Amino acid sequence: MNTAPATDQHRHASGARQDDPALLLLLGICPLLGAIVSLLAGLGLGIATLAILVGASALASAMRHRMPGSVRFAAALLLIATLATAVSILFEVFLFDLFLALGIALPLLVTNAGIVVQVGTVDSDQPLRLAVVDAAALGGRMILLMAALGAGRELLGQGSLLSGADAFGENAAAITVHLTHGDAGFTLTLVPAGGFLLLGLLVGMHNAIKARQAAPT
Amino acid sequence: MAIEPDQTGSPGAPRRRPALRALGLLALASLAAVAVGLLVEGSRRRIADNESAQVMKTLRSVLPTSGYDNHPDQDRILVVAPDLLGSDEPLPVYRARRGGEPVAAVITVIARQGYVGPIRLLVSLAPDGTVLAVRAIAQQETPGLGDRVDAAKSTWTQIFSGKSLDDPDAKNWAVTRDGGAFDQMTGATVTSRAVVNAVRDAALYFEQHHAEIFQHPPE
Repeated sequence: MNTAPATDQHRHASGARQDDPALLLLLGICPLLGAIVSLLAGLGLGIATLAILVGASALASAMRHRMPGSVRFAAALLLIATLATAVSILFEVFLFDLFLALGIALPLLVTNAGIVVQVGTVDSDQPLRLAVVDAAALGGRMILLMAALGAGRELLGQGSLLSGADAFGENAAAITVHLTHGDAGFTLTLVPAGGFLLLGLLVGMHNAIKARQAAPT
Repeated sequence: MAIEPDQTGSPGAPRRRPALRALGLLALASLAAVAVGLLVEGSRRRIADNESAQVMKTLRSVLPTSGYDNHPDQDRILVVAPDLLGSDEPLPVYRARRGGEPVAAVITVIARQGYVGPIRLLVSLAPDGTVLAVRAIAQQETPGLGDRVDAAKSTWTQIFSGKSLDDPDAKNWAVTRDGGAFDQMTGATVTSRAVVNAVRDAALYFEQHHAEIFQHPPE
């Protein structure tokens, strides 16, 4: 097990696995693949993830002196679950259509491994501001990943972007972009199996890039 | 595991006994429960408003735009008809009226034999039994195939508008593959068949309980 020095690499590691934090990021969204079928769904889940991450990290960091190692994970899970419930309720109040579309995926954010590892290990060690910055960085990356995955699936599967915008009011529906009309669409990308295939491609690309970076020259 | 505090003088935070740690977690959990409870209570009314706005939105999609002057989402009854409406649970029937006279009834029916799972439908009928509109309000059918029962994805459900139990007659209330008059969705015969059966059953329910549907006081 390689233990990297406590330098910038540790500070900005998204997750405690210093050997491959990005992989953890990619795999952490597996439970959500059923719901990320559109750009808006991806954005919604990404923003929810960011809120949970920042909130739970801030709280975990604030309490870190009172939480010895053995209870740290249990407390982190508790914080994450509480925040996920709170975020879910906020969606239900303010973004009802999106809440209905996301269904079980919002509460399921509790199972996102990336969140659990980040809050339970890295952030409960750091002072408040660092913890929040780290969490926000990870959250930002998750938003990009989920939005990109959602946009890709929506584009390939339905030929549209930003569908579901009527969640923000009837006038907002106009911003939905339809690039193809009628039935033209690669349906496989809309079912969970297609989501896993796309995720697998992303993981493969990530591994290829990593291998190229590690290759000695 | 020793329960005495660490005596070997290790630097850093003092070790607490497991009982204290457990108590700490319990305190945190209680705090979290209170916070969530407050949030749930505080948001209850706004969520209920959202839900009834949603009901009104779907009702508007099956009712003629100006034909009624009451509030169908409030003028409703709950009926239980497992054989025809597909559920043991009470299902809402909404009434639209103008000047007190019945204009339409919107029946909730559940098509149990969907390809993936049950499909919840709203079927609106005129007082003479003519189907006005059909909308799927909850379904989990295959994207691109069965999910075209959703009006946002295709206009297939419009084939029921104007139909009644006389038109087509009983043996033709089926998909064309079964010898009936309704074109099934391409690649989604199972879904189509389930919906055709459910709409027919809703029309049957309406015919059998016509008077009671409009006269029962709202609940």
